[in-house]
Amino acid sequence: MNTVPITLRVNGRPVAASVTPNRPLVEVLRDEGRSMDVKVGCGEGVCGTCTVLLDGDPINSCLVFAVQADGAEITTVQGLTDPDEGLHPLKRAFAEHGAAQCGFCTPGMVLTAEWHLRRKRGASRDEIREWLKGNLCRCTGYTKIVDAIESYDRQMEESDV
Amino acid sequence: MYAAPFDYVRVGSWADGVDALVRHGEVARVIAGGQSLAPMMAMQLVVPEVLIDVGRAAPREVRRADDHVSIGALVTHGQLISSPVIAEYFPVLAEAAAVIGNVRVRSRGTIGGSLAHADPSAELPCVAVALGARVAVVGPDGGREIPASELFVSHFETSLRPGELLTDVLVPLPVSGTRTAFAEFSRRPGDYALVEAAATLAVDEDGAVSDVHLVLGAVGAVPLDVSSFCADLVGRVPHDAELRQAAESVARGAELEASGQVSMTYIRELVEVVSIRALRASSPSAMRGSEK
Repeated sequence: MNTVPITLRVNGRPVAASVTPNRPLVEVLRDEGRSMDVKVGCGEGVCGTCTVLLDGDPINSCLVFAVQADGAEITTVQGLTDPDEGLHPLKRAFAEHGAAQCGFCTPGMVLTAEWHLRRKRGASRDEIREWLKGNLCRCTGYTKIVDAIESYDRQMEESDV
Repeated sequence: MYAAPFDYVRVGSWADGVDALVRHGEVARVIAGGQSLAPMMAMQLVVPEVLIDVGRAAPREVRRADDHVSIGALVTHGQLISSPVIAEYFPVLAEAAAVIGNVRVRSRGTIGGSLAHADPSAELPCVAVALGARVAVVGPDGGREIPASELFVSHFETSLRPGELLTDVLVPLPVSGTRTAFAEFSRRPGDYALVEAAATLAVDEDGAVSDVHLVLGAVGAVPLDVSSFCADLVGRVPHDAELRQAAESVARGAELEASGQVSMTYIRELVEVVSIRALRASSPSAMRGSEK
């Protein structure tokens, strides 16, 4: 089994690697990419812990072989920033609402929620829960995560006026 | 949770994909979105020696042609949901795609992959059969088209011959007055469906049913066409009582495969529920009787 040279851009930063084809993207992001904010959960695509954006869309980075992602733009949770505030206000909302306990599911939750919020505003709590299908949390019981997302949505509403 | 080592081949065209498949033979598997294959490889249920990546073999396009809509095999479930062409002609495809897995699966999973994988619990095979879709295929002996109803042979088995790749899904434009709807039941959000139903109802200017198709998914090795149980609907205005009767007769009479997870009694109960939901949603007056 040969190694294959690939290049990725991770939060705008080029990452070059020479990978065996069976290496999942999540591993290359953490090892060569030094992105420890990407976590490994189940390794089989059901928990959503390893969520990153690939060319703008959320994926399970454990289900994409790094070779498949050659040339891709990857956004991890650290890549979600606010040009004015520094800390992205959705992340601030998570902190203020106690939406993170161990924090392991948090990158996946934040990236998934932010992707949806850019497409739909004023979602109900039920819809927000739908958005988070496949993002498993073992600590919080999800309520405060939904609270944080809802509050950020409302916050954006107020600043739109 | 780690795939066994393999050799990787990325192809830039369907023709190259066919060549690679022919060259490597039985030890090769094809990957597009990988949302079914990659988990199986991670669990080492499937151990290909060669992985042929067709993910960049063709544009991901949904095109309106003369008498059909052509959906490229690599169109993702997410794209089906956001496509204006799908929204205009086949909203049922967007509705079915929207309940596939979760947003991450939908970013990568493709319609071609879903049909070629032929998982009995998948949504798109059931809907494809109900829509009367055909698939375009290329192989070492050239190209051909296969009706969706002839594509699925058994669990995870299609009528694709060695070396063949599914390139497009062709969905004939509905005749005016026709509507297709989909319903499924699963125990938890994102779980594989326990039962699925896709109903197509065509009505004439008087509101009477001129044609009806009902296809069940997840209750057999392949999508199950149970349209014959709805024959009494033809020629009549589809009031809720008639729809309920059809759903009941399907649930009672159709030959279903037990899943092993739940009892056949429960499956039949669920078949009646999803059948009536799909039939109601496909009927033009959107008759809503009491919710069952």
